[in-house]
Amino acid sequence: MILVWLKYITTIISFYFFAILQNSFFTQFSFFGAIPDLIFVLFFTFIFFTENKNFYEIVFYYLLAGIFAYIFSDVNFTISLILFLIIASLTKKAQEILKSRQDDNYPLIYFLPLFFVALIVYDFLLGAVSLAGMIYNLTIAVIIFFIYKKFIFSGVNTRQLKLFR
Amino acid sequence: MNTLSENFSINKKNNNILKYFGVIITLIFFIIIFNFFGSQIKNSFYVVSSPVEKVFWSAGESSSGFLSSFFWAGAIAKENDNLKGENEKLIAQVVLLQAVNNANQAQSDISLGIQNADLKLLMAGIIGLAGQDVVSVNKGSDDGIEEGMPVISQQNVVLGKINKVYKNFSSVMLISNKNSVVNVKVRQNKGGEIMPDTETEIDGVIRGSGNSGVSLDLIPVDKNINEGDILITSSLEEVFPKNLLIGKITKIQKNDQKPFQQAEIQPFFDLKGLDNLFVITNYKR
Repeated sequence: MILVWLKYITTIISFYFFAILQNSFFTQFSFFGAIPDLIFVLFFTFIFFTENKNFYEIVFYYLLAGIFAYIFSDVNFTISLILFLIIASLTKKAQEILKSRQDDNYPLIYFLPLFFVALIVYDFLLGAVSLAGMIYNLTIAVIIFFIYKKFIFSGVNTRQLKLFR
Repeated sequence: MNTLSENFSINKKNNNILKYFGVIITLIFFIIIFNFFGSQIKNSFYVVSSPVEKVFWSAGESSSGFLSSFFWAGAIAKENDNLKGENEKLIAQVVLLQAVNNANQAQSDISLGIQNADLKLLMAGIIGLAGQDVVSVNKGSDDGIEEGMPVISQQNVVLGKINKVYKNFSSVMLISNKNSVVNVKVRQNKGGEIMPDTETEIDGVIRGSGNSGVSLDLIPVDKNINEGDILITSSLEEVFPKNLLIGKITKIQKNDQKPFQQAEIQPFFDLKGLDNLFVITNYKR
């Protein structure tokens, strides 16, 4: 039980930390004027690695992403929440269709195109489509994908969210 | 058995409905909270996180400077040579203009710098980004900041204007923001010499194009503008005082079929290395 709450707290701290990094540190490392959207990258990574049956966990992630996107940017809260809800729904639906029967259900070959499409949808709905931004976000997403898969997912993939019994 | 399985599927359906209903109620609750108390929540977060953001901002500056010396050594050396050349031309121009000024005090329209010495400036520190081409600063309504106030750098370069004010911090919409439009004048740059005001001033507007990009528009196609020409704020501008530096023209897009020509602008401001900016608190047109 404590470990479940620890997971929630760690997730909140991760989003907070990434939001601060995005708005301060990475401002100095712009790529043709674009800065990575770390909140979106982190949100998508969490959603991608969460099983479809963990409904409440998915809701938690897009609520958290919506809150931090609102606080650390100039997007309206309702709009950011709806955007993340759309992205989460589309991603999980696509994953359901694409899911393979191999041992590894979360390969990079699924992650990258799903992320790319989700990013296009997100940027288009925000009115901020930029090629430089997409390239930058894709690069960061790949790094975070491997870090998450190697160090976090492999250790906890047998656990399920038991908070909302 | 059939009755049992039917009951099971009905129960499952009811559970799903309850589940979705619960989530919708939770989301509506959060939407109401953030719509009514959003400003206070944002302000609290910024008060807590601004020291951390400042540390990361400085760390980013140092790392960026260190890395760019490796990757951009050639470009930096070239830029240094260009700047030395420009500096020498400017020194010569200053010497000449000082002579002109001494000779005829009444006709001294020599400077591209701000001519409004009685403007009140409030220095604000940059905390970090607050969106696409929006920065947050550590001064808010408690410090006398109001929406619409112009913001400049130490070198009298236009940065943007205050677009949202909270209790302890504000957000500045940069001129590169897609919602930004500024009236400007084009000052011709001939061989490194900035020409003074002439009777044939060229007026236009600059629009933000996002990702620190700015473009010039509404220049009549029959007007002659050149790469390297300097842009300053116009007297037609309502937000900013006139004669503030904006940027220079880098690439002209001219089509004789259209009534206006456009150009890409390199703004003089650069967020990298910028720690403080100045809010003009008493400029009212």
